[in-house]
Amino acid sequence: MLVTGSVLVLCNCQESGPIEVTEVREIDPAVKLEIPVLAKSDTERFRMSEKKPQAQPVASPGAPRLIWDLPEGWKEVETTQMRDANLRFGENDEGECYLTKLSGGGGGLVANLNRWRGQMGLPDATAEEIEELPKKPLFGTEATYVDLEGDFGGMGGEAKKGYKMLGLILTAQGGAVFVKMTGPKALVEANSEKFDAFCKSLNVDFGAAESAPEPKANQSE
Amino acid sequence: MAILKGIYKFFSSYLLASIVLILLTVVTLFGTLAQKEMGLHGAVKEYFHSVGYSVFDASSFGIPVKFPLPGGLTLMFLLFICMTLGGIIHVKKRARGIPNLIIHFGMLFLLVSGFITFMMKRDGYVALYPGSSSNRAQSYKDWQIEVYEMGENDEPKKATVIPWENLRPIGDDGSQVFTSKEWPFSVKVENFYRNARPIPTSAPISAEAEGPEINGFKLLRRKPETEVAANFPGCFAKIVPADGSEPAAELILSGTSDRITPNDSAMLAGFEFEGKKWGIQLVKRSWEIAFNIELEKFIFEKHPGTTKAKNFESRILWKENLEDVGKRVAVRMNDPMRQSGFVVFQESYGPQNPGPGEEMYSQFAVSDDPADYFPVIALAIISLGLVAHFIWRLAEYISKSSAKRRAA
Repeated sequence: MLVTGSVLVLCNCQESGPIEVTEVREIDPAVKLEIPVLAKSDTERFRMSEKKPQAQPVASPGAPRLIWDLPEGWKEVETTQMRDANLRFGENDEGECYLTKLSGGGGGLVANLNRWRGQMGLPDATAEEIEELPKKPLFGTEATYVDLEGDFGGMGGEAKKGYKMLGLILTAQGGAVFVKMTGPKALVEANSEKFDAFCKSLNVDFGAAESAPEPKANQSE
Repeated sequence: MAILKGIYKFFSSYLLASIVLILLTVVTLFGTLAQKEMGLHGAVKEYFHSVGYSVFDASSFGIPVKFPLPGGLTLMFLLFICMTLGGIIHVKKRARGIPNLIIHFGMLFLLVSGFITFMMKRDGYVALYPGSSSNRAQSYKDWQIEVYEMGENDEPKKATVIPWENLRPIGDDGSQVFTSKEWPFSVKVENFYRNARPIPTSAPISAEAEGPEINGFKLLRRKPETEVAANFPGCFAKIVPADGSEPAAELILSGTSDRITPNDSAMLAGFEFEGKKWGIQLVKRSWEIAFNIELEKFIFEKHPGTTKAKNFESRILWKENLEDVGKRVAVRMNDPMRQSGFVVFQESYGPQNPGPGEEMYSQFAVSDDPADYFPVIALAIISLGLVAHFIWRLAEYISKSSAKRRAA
């Protein structure tokens, strides 16, 4: 073992010349997802948003779309089926903030708020307690403001300890909007004003794709 | 000769065996505690796969103390020597000692199986959304650079792979040139950071990044994460003509271009060389497994009022190949599927924090361990030895008791 170790140390000390690589992998065309695609730009390749808003799936021209001001130090990541805006912040992107909109009530305020409380390892709140929660502006109206601390997630893996969640829930007959920010407590506290600013900046651009040359979205980038 | 005898006596002694076993217990205890700070892979590497020694830092438990611990691999090697000399060679060869020999042989077999696992086991994962399938496992922590010649419609043909074993030694400040019979150029890889992010130069934080700006991006080195799977490496790659002249292309390669969720495709960086299109990417190491897994259904149940998983299981269609009709198997928590030398565990799922109605994917841990069954065999041998030992002792006791009764 000592001899092997000495040989390895000696090998590492030497400057090596070119290494010829021989491993070749054939692409299986039947497994489409495992075939890489040529990125159109480095921005796309590194999975960062372009300056234009990318939060909305491709929609027909003139369709309304979400716009917002991206807080400084935050970045956008790819949206998902349930995340119409998907943002990250923090040195290692450990903070996240996203917006979900649903048609219908999405289960209502009480059910959703208690679902969030469950995610933080907290017991359910009563409807009366929820009614007393503060309100903050969202899309020109008042949404219920949630400020929770606890151990976040815990879905299958270990819960992330010392987390904080800020959120706004807006429910109406026509639909529901959820804005949710989570991350380590200190990080979320440091970004709470940016969360407020982000929520205030959220707006709907009707027909911007047809007429507005410079959308408001992501001006701070 | 006297020295050799002394060495033999020392390595076959009960004293050494006892010390090694006590130290192994201590290393196991503190190595397990260290997982809190280092994560599972980090602790295994630092404490159990180490040859020399490691230092345990108790400050994370509020005690400002550091102390050294011997390497786990060294201890197990010493135990192997000690048991071979003391437990097999040195013991008196007589009939009543046979059960002990069997037990010691079983323990040695267990140590050998652990060594085979250490040397040859491959761990990876397969993540699938319902309805999709795969026959490739991805590594949690090893990465590779793949270079593709592109077809007329920008479709990648076969990949030539720069393996992890050649990338890892490059380190933060090193560089390495790679050639291949498949390429008319060479690839020079520089500054292989274990954890890094490409940052647009428009972002103020890019001022902290070292290295050149390429296409409006810089590469920001980050402190490696405790959980190795959370690290995304990054490096610079230069495409150098065979004559060694100026690079035809300079690129930042980042692990963030790899698939993030099972529905993503990895993103290639394109470049042209002598009129042909090529693609290059830094992705997790992957390898073909001996079968195809198709996820038919993913079932997830949580404890009422929480998001904590109560049960999750996957209904999969296991196929020898894509043309095979397949066999339906349920893979549950703590109930893996064993097939063709592979073990498939229900590991986790994603996204970890799904929105209402959001589709979830299932992640399987795939383990390829040639010594997978060896511990069972070793335990069977040890159990056989113990049973033989107890029966022998019982027979001796009965025999002596009968003799005493007859004498009385």
